[in-house]
Amino acid sequence: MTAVTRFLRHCPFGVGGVPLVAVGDEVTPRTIIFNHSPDDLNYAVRFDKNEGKSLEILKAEGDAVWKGEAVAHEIRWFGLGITEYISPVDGVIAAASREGGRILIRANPVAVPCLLRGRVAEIHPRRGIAVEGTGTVVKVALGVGAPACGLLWNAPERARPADLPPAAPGLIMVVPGFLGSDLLAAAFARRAVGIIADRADHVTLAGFFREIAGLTLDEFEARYYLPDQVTDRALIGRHGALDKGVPSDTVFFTVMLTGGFGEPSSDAGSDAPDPCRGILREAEGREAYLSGRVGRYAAGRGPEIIIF
Amino acid sequence: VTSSGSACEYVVLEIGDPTTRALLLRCEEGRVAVIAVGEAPAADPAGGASYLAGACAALASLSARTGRPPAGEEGLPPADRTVVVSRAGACLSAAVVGVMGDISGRSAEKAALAGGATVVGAYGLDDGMHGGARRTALNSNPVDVVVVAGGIDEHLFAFGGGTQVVALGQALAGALPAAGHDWREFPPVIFAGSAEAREQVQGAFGEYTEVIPAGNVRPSMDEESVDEVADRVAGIFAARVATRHPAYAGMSALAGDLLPSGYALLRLTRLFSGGNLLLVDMGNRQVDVCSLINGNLTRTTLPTHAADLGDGDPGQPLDLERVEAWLTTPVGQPALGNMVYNRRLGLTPPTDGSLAQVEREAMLDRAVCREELSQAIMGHRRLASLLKGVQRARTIGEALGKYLSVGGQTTVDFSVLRTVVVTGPGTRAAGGPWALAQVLVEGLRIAGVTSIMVDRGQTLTAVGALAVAHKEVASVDPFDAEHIDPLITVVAPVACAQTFLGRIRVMAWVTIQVGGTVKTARVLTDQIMRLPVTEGREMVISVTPTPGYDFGAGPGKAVTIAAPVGRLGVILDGRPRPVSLPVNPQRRRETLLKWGRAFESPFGAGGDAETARAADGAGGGGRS
Repeated sequence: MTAVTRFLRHCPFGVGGVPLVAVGDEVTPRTIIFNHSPDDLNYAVRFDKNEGKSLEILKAEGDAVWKGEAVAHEIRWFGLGITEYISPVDGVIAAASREGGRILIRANPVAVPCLLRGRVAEIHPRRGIAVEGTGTVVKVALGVGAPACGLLWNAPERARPADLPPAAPGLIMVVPGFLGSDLLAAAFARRAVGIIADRADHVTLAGFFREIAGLTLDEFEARYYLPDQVTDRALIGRHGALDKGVPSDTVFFTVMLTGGFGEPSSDAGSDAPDPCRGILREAEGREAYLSGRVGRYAAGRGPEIIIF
Repeated sequence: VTSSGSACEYVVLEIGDPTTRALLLRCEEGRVAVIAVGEAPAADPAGGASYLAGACAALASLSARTGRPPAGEEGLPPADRTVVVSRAGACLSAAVVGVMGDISGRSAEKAALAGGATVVGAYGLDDGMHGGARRTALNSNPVDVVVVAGGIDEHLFAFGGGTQVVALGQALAGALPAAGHDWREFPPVIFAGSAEAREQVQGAFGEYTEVIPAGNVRPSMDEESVDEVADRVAGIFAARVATRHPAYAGMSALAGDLLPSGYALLRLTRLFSGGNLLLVDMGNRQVDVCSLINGNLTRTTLPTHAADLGDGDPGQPLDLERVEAWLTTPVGQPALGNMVYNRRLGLTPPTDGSLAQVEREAMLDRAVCREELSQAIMGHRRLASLLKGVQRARTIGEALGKYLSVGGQTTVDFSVLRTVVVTGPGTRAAGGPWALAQVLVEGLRIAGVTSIMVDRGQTLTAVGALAVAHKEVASVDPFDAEHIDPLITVVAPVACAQTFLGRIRVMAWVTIQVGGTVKTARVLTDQIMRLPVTEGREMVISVTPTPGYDFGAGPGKAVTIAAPVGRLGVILDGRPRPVSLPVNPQRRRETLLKWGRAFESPFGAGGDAETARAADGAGGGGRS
C-alpha cells in the first residue's frame, strides 16, 4: 500500500456561495460546506397575458413549490380540458402576476457536500475552502467528470455487466483491465458514482459522455429505473453544477483510467501489473475521492484518487 | 566572461514542453548566435511538480556542454542575463468581456492573446446568454486575468448612452472566479475600455480585486490598439502567475525575466523586415499562429493537449474523420482515437516495436499535425480580420449581400502573404523536410507564391524573448540566415476559374531564374511537381497564369517575386484550395501516395512527363 500522506485540496464555491463551516471544523464527504444560491437564479413560468378569467394561480408569493408541481391552471373547453403550468424547479414563489403573464420562482439553494474527509484549513469567501487531511493519493493517467466520492468496490477480472451488483448507489467500481461500453453503461445505470479502469477506448468514452451530457435526475430515473432505488440528490451533480453552469439536478459520472486509451497489446512488456490495481484492491470498501480532470499537462493538479 | 567588448552572452530557458531547453546565446554587432544548447526532460506539472527541476537539469547540461560552471566569473551568465520563456498554455488563461462581442469583445480577445494568454471564455451583451448564465459561465472557469473592454473614448455618456460597459462590469463583478494561479485570490481585471467609464468600472470590480487601467483597445470605431493591454497581460504573468503558480515555484530565482512564449513570438514577428509574415509555432501542447499583415499584428493559439471528452477543454475538438482521411493505411476510428489522444496526453501507447507500427505512427503524426495546423489557421483567419463597426464604403460584393456585415473579412490572404516561418518542436514530428513541407502546404492551405522557412535550431522563441527583455538585443534581425533555413517555395493558385468546358488544364507558366540559369515549367490542374533548385541563394519566380486563374496578383495577372532558394526548391501545386480528397477510399489512398511521391522526389509522379522533361532539360543546361 502506498504511504498515507497529508493533502490540502480546494473546494470551490459557486456564485453567491455562503460557507456553512468554519476553520478547524472536521468535515466528512457528506458534510454540507456551503449553499450554492446564485442570487439571480430565477425561473419564470409564462402564460398568455390575455388568458380568460378561468386562469387560476394556485400559489401565492412565498409559497414553496416542487419541481413538477402545478403553480397555475386554466379550465378550457367549458370544463372539458385543463392546462396546467408546472414549476421547473424546487423553490419559492418570488412573484406571481396574471397581468404580467408570468410566475417567478426562485430556485432553492443547492446544498453542496464536501466530498473530502479532513479538517477545514482555510475559508476564502466567494472563492472556496481548503480541506486538509490524510489519505493515500494515487495519480492516474486520465480522469473525466466532476469530483465524486464513494466506496471502492473491486469487480472480478474480466467482469461483465452481470457481475456488477444490481444496485450500486454510492459505489466507485474498480474494473481491472479494459473497460467496455457495456460495463460503463451498466455501472452508470446502477447508480455508481464513478468507475476506475486500466484502459478504455476514446471513442467509447466520448460517446458515453456525449450521451449523458445534460441528463437531469428525473430523466435519469426514468431511463434507468430500478425498483426501490432513489438516487441521492445530495451527491448527484455536486461540483458539476457549479463548474459547468448547468441546472443543479444534472447527473454526472466520473471515469478514471490508470493506463490510458486502447487495449494493451499482447507483448510481454504490457502485461506488467499495474501498481494502482494492487492499491485499489487493498482499499476495498474504503471511502475514496475522485478528481477527474482531463489532461496530464493541464494547469494545476492532474486527475487523482484519494483513499481515506 | 559574460560580456566582452560589445558582445554579451545570455541564457534563455524554454519551459512548458516535455523537454526543457537552456540556450546560451551571444549577441554581437547586431547578430545573435547560438553557442550551445542544453536539454533535460521536464517534470510533469500536473503531478504538482515545478518546472524548476527540469530547468536546473537543462542548465547543468548546458554547463557540461560548454565546460563552464553554472555560476562564477568564468561561468554561465547570471540571473539578470537569464530569461525564462514559457509555453504558458493553460497556465495563463484569460476571460474577455466586451460590450459587443464582435467589436470591443474581439479587440479584447486580440489583446489578451497578444499578451500570450489562452482565451477560455468571451462574454458580451450579444453572446446569447441571459445574465445568470453569463455569471455562472464566467465563474465556472478559473482564469488568471480578466480583460474588460467597451465604449469609445470621447463622449461616451453623451445623450444618455454608454452605460452598457458599466452595467456589464457591475453584473459580472460578483461572479469573478478564483484565480487559476492561486485560488485564494480573484484574478486581476484589466479595464481596457472607455477612459470615461474607468472610475465606475473600477468601483464595480475594486471591491473584489485589483483593477489595472489600460488604454482603450477600441478608442474609436475605426481604430484598434492592443499593445498596452498585451504588455499588462505579460506583466501579470511575470508578477503573479510565475510567482504563485505551483508549476513555476522557484523559477523567479533563476532568471530576471519570465515571459509567455506567445508574447515573445508576437513581438518577434514585429521585427520582420520583409513585408507580411505568418509565423507558426508548433509546440507540443499548443499551436501558435502570429501574423504581421499590413502592419497589423495578431496572435491566436490552438490548445492541442485536450482529450476532447466534453469536459470543458478549451479549443475545438479534433475531427478524427478528417484525420483518418489523410491516412494511407486504414486504422479505424477507435484505434485512431486511442493513438491520437494517448499522444496528446503524453501517455505511452501500447507498442509492439515493429517497423510497421513506427511507419504507421509517423503517418499518424503527419495527419494529426496537418489537421491541427488547419484548425489553427482557420482560427487565425477568424480573428485577423477587418474591424467591425466601422463605417466604410461597401464593395459591390457587400452591397449584393455576399457578406453578412461590413467588416470581419479576414486579412489572412496568401495574395499578400509571401513568407511563412515555422518553428517549434512540432516541426520535427512531421518527419523529413519533404514531409514537413507537404504537411505545411496542406495544413496551412498555402497558396500564391509563398516561401516557407524553418527555424533550424528552434531558436526564434529564445531570440524573441531576449529582444523583449533586453533592449540591446531588440535591434537584431532574428530572421537572418543564422537562424532560419528556406525550405521550399510554393506556387499554387489562390483562386481557380471554372469554364463551361471544365477547368483549363494549364493553370500557369512558371519561369525560375537563378543567376544566369532559367528553368521553365507549367502548373497543371490537380498535378504536383517539385523542381529542385540547387544553386544560388535567391531566385526570381515569374508566374503567368492562364486567364481566370489567380496566383496572387488577380485573375490572369502575372506575378514576379524574388524568393530565397530553399533546400527542396520549388513546388508547383495545381490543386485547388482548400485541398480536398476523393471520397472513394481506394482513390483517396492512391491520391495520397501520388501527392507524397510528388513532394518526396523531384519531378515526382504528380507532374506530367512533358513538364518534367522540359524542366529537367532546362535544369541541365538552362537557357540564358
